[in-house]
Amino acid sequence: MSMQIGGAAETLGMSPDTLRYYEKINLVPRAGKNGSGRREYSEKDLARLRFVQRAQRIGFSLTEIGRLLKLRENPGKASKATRLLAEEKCREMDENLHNLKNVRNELTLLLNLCNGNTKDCPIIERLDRS
Amino acid sequence: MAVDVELFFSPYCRQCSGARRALRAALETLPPGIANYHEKNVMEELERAVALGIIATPALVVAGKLLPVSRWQRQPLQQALLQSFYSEEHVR
Repeated sequence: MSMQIGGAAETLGMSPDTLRYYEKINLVPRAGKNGSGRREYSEKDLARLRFVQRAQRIGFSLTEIGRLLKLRENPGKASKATRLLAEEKCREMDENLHNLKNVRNELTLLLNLCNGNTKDCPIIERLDRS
Repeated sequence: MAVDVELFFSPYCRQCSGARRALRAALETLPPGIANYHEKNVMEELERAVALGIIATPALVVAGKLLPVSRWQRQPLQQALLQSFYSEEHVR
């Protein structure tokens, strides 16, 4: 069963603009058009878009998702390249977590320095220095 | 070789001047040349302070390691420093 852009967007929990954008950047192929020139999304289109959604949820960028979609087309040979991509993503996440932890610790230190009563504020001072 | 002893203070900290006095007094009781003492404004070395695990001031760092201090008084500080120096020596 196929559906028009509004229905597809609602089913997926995405906006119609997002679906058009994915087409525009060639992340997904152009949806077929019906007799009146409106986009028609097939089950296959929806499955591809769900794949994009899940990959985004895991943290892959649109560029990476583009690579994953290409790998998806050739599952027999996808395993090694997909694994490398996932390993790279894990390393990136570890680095982000490390940075986030440092920022959190810095903020904790600044909060402990700031008693909220004096006219000077270490948090403002730090932001001014950065 | 002298061990680096660093006091991280901040201009916003009420306890810091008392901590500085107590630490200096504790250091004076130790054999000369055993410690290499520095005072660091945490606002000027924030990244390093965070990396050392400092979340409040005053904070005492000995040989590059944060040393927990429960009481900023001469005698407990002296004991903590000596213990830390010996463990450093033991590690070497």
